[in-house]
Amino acid sequence: MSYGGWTGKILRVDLSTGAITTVDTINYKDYLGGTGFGWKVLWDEVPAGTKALSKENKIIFGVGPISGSGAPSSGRMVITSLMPINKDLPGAGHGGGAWGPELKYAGWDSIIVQGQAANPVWIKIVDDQVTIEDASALWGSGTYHTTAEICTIMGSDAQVACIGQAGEKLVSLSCVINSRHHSAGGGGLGAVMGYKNLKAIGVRGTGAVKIAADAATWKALNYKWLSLMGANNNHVVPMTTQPWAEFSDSGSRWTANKGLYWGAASPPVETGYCTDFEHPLPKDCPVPQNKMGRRTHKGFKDYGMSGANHTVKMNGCLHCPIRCHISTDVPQLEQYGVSRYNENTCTGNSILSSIMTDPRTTDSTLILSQMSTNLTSDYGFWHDYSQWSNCFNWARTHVMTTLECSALGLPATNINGLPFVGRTPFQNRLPAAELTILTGNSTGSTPYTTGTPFAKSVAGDPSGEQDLIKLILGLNYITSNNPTTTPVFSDAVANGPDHWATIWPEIGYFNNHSNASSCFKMNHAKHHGVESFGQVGCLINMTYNRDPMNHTHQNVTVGPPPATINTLMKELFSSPTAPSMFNDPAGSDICFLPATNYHPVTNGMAAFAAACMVELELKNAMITCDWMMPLWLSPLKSKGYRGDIAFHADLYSAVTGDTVDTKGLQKIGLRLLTLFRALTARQMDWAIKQVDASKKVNMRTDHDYMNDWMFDKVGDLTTGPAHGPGTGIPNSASGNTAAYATTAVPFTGGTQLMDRADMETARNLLYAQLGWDTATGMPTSATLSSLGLGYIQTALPALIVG
Amino acid sequence: MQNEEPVVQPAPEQQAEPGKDAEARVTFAETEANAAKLRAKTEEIKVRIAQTVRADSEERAALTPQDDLFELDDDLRYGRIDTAAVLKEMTAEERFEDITVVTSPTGIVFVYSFRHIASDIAAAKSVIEEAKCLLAGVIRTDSLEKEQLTPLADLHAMAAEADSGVVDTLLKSMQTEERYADIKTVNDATGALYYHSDKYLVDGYAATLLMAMSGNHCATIAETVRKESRIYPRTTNLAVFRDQKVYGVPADELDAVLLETLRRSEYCDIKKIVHPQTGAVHLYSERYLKQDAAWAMMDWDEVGRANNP
Repeated sequence: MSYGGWTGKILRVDLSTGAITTVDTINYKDYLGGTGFGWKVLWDEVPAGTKALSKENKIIFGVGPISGSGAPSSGRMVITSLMPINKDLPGAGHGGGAWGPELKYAGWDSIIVQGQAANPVWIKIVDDQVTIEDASALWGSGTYHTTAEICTIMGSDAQVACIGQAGEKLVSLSCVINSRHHSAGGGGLGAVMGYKNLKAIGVRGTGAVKIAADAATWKALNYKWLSLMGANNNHVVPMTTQPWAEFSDSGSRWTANKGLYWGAASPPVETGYCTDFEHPLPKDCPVPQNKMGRRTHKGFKDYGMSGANHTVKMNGCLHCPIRCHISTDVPQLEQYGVSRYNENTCTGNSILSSIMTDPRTTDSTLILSQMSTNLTSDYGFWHDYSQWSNCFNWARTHVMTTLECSALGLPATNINGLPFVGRTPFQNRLPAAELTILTGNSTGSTPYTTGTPFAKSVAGDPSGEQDLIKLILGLNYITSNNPTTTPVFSDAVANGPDHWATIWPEIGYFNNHSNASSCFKMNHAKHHGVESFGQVGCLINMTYNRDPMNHTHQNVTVGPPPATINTLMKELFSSPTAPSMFNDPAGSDICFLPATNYHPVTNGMAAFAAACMVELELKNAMITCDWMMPLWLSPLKSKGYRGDIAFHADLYSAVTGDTVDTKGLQKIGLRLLTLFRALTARQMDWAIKQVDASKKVNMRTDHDYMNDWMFDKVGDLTTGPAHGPGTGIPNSASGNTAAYATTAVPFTGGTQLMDRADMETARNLLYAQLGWDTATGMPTSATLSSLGLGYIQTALPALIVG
Repeated sequence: MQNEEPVVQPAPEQQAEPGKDAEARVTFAETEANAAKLRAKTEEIKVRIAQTVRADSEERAALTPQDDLFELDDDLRYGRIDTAAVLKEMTAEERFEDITVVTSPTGIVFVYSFRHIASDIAAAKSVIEEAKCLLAGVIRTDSLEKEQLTPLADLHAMAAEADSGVVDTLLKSMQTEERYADIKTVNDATGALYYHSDKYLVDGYAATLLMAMSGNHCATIAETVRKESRIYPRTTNLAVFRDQKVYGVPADELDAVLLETLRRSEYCDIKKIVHPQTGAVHLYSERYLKQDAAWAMMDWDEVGRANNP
């Protein structure tokens, strides 16, 4: 391959036949890499209607042309496949660590895994040497042991991506772990590996990545990149008032400060002022970038002084100067037989602790969270950005009312012959034997018996997490030397809110109607939705098939004053001279804060949302970090806090030698987003036709919707269309009070209440920006042609309009 | 499948290339084409440097600090092209023969055109420029390391044997020069003059320091809250006045100061709200924020953001 960046070859491993072959990367160059390769492989090779857990499904481990180049924030990887968690729709998981770059050094641009092995296997890759190895001895073990065993075979410098027991048990809340705590979640991709009997992929590479630029150009580009970077989430102002900084924002992850330490380091390390490049300090040795790794103290940010005191250091991905993973030392964990040393960040730390009651004693939040991290990383258990835990807590505590049971059409008596009304979903749905295991009594009543998993959960006993993870995954839970399991409980809670809602309609009701659910649509979680620039966050959340994992918009919600951010984003996306292909030349506003009132949607917001989605595709294809890129803001006061929208294009051009400008690169990103759209539509259309062959999918109405809780107030007589079990029920019918107050009015008084008509307008504007049809939400024929995706029209003629 | 071939599995001894650096993870294209591009850009920058230096020398009779040349181009700023090396090359070229470098006793490099400034004049100017640098250095050090304002008297004391008017003249001339654009002045209530570097101690922080120095804690709280409500807008968590020393409010007096602030008529726009879940006290100015908006902002700061990580 004449280009830089790519190695030129993709690895294909067929686990059914044992065949190991290569594919020329040049065939996929128009799709860049990462998820771009993944979408294309799924389109070309995985027929409509394929189940996520099937031999026919394929799983693509992707990196991109930037991976391994050493560029800042380029250490991530993506895994693309059909996802078991949500109706077998396409999706991706995104992982950090060092596995991605290692794959490049081994000489591969991606790995396509297909088929199903007869017995457990793992794939061993040492440069061009690729073999399928027996994993029988590893099956049943967690990711820590698996990684250690493979590194014993391959060498300690090997990188291992593997599944734990969650993936083996084929549960939808399963992920792929590398580098001990870096997870690629994404809707049950661990189960896809598990179904294929693929335990792990170990990689060791001795090669190098070719960069098309000369060393001086590359060095300057990297230095520029570093100068434009802030802290984690590219927060460009510090969290606290500091003399050198014009602005501060309490939401910022630029937490470094005088007197703030990595308290568990030996000796403790003071973060100090970690200034931007315009404010070099005398002790920056010799320049501020050497201290960028101290800017983000997530131990303090997430856990206050307790977290700061137990932070050994901040860690992160290979090649990233922004360290966002908290490496903790929590000695209290040793009494439970788990390591005191753990590492993760944000919600990765709270997967199990979020179903525990925190007693709020000294270090209790940290202890519960680090127990959670230790267990979920080892078992390879994933949560969908908290929607799962919201469902769990509701199912354990919410007492069903007469109105709810009536509105949902629930039977008079539950599985144990007792009235539905007046009991929680767990009490109603779990057999007496399982309730006895979980609570100590056959009806699941409170108070729970001391020592049972639910009692420990309520008491905030960390060992409760050890009990619950086994029961959740359907593993043996040993009590009084009596191995036992809770299969009904496990089936409900381990396979995600969509499955849960299908078998328990009250979960669908909760997800759709309760503002405590934080569910966006299709029973998947919202992730920086309505609270992130209102309609912008909503449009982004409605486009994906899982929580969107898109931080492009979120990364500019913190920083200088919103009026400044609005001005800067308008320069890029709402101006007659905007450099973006997504633009409102009329110059409408884009960004604002809820407290100063949301506004009705504008074309500028739609352009911004479109650019954010396209940017995510580029990040996941090239690959650069979603939490840092693109650099639309910078810490540089001299530039008015402007970032550089051209930077991604400059970076791509420098690495590959394939020169593109901003609009050219955006067009590639739009190609990927549109292909993902078509993939989703193809899969949904197939499912709809299984019910009624005369029907076809309408992406606008069937896919791009929002749950009712974002629109409805207490006592509302109407609701939106039904979208599955437990949905489409007016609050007046169910008596739902977990809703906006009756006095709330959209766009006034700081409320986040949204307006259905306004969101219809928002869809229209977004589709126009993306070249998608207003009525169907599908790319138009002209759009497909302009993007080189004419083959989609050929394959889906009934879904594409002119 | 297209172009698929069986994977080549070389014997282990064939893996390593002889002489290859095992640590080299990237290779660069040091090609003729790339070198030509760099060369062309360097030539372009030489012309721009010459234009800038000649203009400074001719139009303002001013030396051009080498550090200021970084502003000409990102390739200089980010090191793709080395400024000192370019200047060295220029001195050897006939078309730039007038471009000359003078280095001050403390090592500050200036560039000028001898067509417009004679060498002895340039040397004298460099001494003056150096004095300005020293003054700026003291102000910047106070701002950066001591986090305090620099009283004018401290600057006069630097040249105790000279007429203070010399220092005043230098300080005045600095106000018109881009390289000292960060040097700012503020006056306290008595009219006393203080200097600070806005680069290391921004204007807003300087204003806060002045308020703290005045000892009027009620005014400090009120003005801080008004500024936050006006600029962002957002509420101000009372805890910042306890946790951040810059405000100068003694922790044990904070509650009393707050009560006094809320009581006094000149601060009647300052309002207090308490978050029902966290108990945190927030303040806002109703001049700039309405109550419902302030409450929503406080709620976001206290619990909303944490629930949406």
